[in-house]
Amino acid sequence: MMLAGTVTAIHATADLLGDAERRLPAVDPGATAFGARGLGLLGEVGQEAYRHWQAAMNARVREARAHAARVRDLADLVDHAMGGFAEAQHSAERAQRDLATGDSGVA
Amino acid sequence: MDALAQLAPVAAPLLRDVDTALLTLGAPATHPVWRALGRVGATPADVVAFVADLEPARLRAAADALRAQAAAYEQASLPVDAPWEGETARHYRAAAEAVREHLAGDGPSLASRLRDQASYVESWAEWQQALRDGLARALAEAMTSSQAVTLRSQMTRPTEVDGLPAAVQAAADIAVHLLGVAEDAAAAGRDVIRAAQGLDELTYRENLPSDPLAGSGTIRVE
Repeated sequence: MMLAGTVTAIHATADLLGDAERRLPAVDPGATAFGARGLGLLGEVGQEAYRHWQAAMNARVREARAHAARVRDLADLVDHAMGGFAEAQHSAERAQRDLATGDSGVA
Repeated sequence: MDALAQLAPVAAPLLRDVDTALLTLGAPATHPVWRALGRVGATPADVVAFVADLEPARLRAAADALRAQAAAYEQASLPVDAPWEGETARHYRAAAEAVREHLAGDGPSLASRLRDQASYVESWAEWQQALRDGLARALAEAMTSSQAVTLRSQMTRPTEVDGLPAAVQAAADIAVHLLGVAEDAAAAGRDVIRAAQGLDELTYRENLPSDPLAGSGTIRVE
């Protein structure tokens, strides 16, 4: 895969995680769906089940956020390499031009 | 429409009679219904109304959404092979491998956490369905019991006091039968919650080379 393709793939993964962070909370079916609004014993158990779900969902959202940041760091690493590549390419092109015009750049 | 959805409306008059008898006439002093009422904290009519409103399908939809997100993580393309060489490439490869492993690797990953959470919510949907089915069976038994006949006869002729003791006993028997389903379900529900461990935030394990990044490297043009 070329550098540009690598960067595109990394950004797509970062976007996927960013979307997950935003959209996962909407997956929550709500306290009522877990039976957390019931009376007595069944309501208590429903509340426990819902708290367990909420804690897990909060963890999923935090995981997505943190990992999106890590993936963006990867993109930065590739950008760093691309910067070096561009600099090297400019130097090579300049050297070729200088050779073609007979200007060695040495006084 | 499951059995409880069909039975609950039909059973409503009997449940109303059970609740009315318990609230206005009480129950024999040594009857287990007292203990059951104390533990469940709701009357039989309230329990049936609550359980009849549960919709396991809503939880299954949440499980499906989590699995779809896990599949998206698994299908994400994160190239590990750097198309250049040198220190930056080595750092990139190490970091990319760790990031990809954390996202959807063979071990615990963000994708596997989502699937585990989907399994949990699906287990809770199954628990709700089992509760609905168990309560439907208990309701059917109660509706066809001799106690139901005794109780309903008395409630339609409230001025006839001879049948009151039998009616009080019958209401308590029906109540304890239905409340027993709720008690058993509560214990099973707590087991489901206890079994759903490993849903906490997954710790990221960084895997970078220990030497500092100098930024030198060779581009491999493909």
